[in-house]
Amino acid sequence: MAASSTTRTSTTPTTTEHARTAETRDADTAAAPVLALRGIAKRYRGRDVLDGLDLTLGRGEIVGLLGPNGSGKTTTLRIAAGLLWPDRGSVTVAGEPLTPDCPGVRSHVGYLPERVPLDDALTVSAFLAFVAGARGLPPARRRRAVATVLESFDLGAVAGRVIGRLSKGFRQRVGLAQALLGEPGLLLLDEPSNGLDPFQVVEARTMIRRAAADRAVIFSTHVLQEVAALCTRVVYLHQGRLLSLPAPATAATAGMRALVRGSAPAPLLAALHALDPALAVAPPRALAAGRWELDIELGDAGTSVGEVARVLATAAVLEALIPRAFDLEAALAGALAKHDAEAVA
Amino acid sequence: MRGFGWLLRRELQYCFLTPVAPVAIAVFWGASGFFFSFNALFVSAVDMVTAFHNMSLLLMLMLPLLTMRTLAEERQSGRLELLLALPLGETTIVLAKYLALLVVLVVMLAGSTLAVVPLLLFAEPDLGPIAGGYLGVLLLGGAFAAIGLCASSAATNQVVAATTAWGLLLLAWFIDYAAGLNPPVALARWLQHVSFSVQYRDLIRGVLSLGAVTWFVSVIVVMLVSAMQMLRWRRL
Repeated sequence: MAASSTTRTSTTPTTTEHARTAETRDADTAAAPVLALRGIAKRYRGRDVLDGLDLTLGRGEIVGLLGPNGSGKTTTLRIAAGLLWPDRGSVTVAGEPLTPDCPGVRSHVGYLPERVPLDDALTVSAFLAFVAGARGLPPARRRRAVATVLESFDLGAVAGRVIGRLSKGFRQRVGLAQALLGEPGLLLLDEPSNGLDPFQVVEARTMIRRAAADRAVIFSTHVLQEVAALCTRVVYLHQGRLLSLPAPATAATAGMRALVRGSAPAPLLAALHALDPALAVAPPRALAAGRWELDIELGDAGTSVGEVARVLATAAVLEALIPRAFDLEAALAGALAKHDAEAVA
Repeated sequence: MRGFGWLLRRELQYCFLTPVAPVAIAVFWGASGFFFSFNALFVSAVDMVTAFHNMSLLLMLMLPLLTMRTLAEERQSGRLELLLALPLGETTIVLAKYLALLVVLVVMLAGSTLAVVPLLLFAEPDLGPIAGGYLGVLLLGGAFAAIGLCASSAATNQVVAATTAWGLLLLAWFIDYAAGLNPPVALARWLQHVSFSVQYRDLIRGVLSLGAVTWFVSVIVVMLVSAMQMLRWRRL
């Protein structure tokens, strides 16, 4: 969070607020969650990789899963895909528990592993037909589904080509296409843009956005720009648990710096508080000639820069307003610092 | 078993669209034909029992090379991850892969039936024992394939899978040699009973004895169930 080091005059919308918002969102999606991971624990070679992880995902959400190498991102996705069973906790997909004896539940899940391992010997259409068949689609629906993903991912031109001869970008498209066959409600993508060139990354993002229109998507990545560009929610895996971070897509503007002219800042602060008590305003800094500089951070209540500007212009002379872009890196650092401080306390 | 047909089809495509099965089949045909012709031309011994014996040894050498890719290569390449994420049960995966191996085995043996043609032209062979012998070799090959598939399910590397399968096959083949070390009679009998090289003798003569058939079918079932369990265990 950009200004987390400054003393605030109102409740600071730090990670606590964001966590509360995330919980509220969770509560909203709890009615019909596409994926619910509850109390997941997984131990590898004497180390607790996941330790009581909770995550609930609803339709239309794109969740970015961040974390350092070895933090358990892939393990989380593999557990959600039914490739691994947790030592403790439960996994529910589309309301059905994911258990070893019910492979059918996996038909609700589309999964793209990190390395995009495809059948190199098969043609694109043969491979997609296999996946659709393995997902149990009846013949007519299977043909339609294959045709749809071929068209959606612009794979028509290479449908008859052997996968082993495709470029990395096309392989990625085939990987995404197979994950969407059968229209699963949940899409799990493990570092989907890994190893792609910048153009292919943009392409992959477009495809993920398109795919996420009517399903829940969770993807792991190390690239913060990717998270900022795609996600409606960001979670960070830290010591086996998830920390919720602000959603970059809804927090494109984190705050602003305002230059106002007036006798005293108190009425301004009161007006801002009346507009939105969640606004965090740093103590105004006095400049020359009765001018004041205000650092304002937007909360999660949805107050826009325009509304803040209107209030400022009404209560004083607004000379300048400089919106500040959301800084995920700073948000992440703030969340980690807060978590560590709480752990020490 | 949802998706069984599709997985079988994919396995067969993988076998026959890559050089894997064609090369194995060609080598098997070439080698078994060579041994048969050599015996006929230089040893003047034209009998199918010797041919079946040679085929059995060839299968012991070659099948681990085919089975090592079934699961170990899939795991190594990451494709197994994609496969296990599909709504397919472990039973479906193992049985489809095993059936694909049997198809390759049947094609191998079918090509070798050309050896019967000169017998039909120049002699009057009893076709019953020959057919029985082929069934026996198919059963033996089926057991080899099941052992190889099981080894492949446990290994994370193809070379390890093939080497493990060879180790198990050699053990199963030569285990009766231990009977020569004068163990207790019951143990010596048991070693004779479980040895592939003892059990297959009747089979390649075209005698489908209940004991031998039961033994090889049991080996196949145990190995396939173990492979399924291994896949389940890998999810833990």
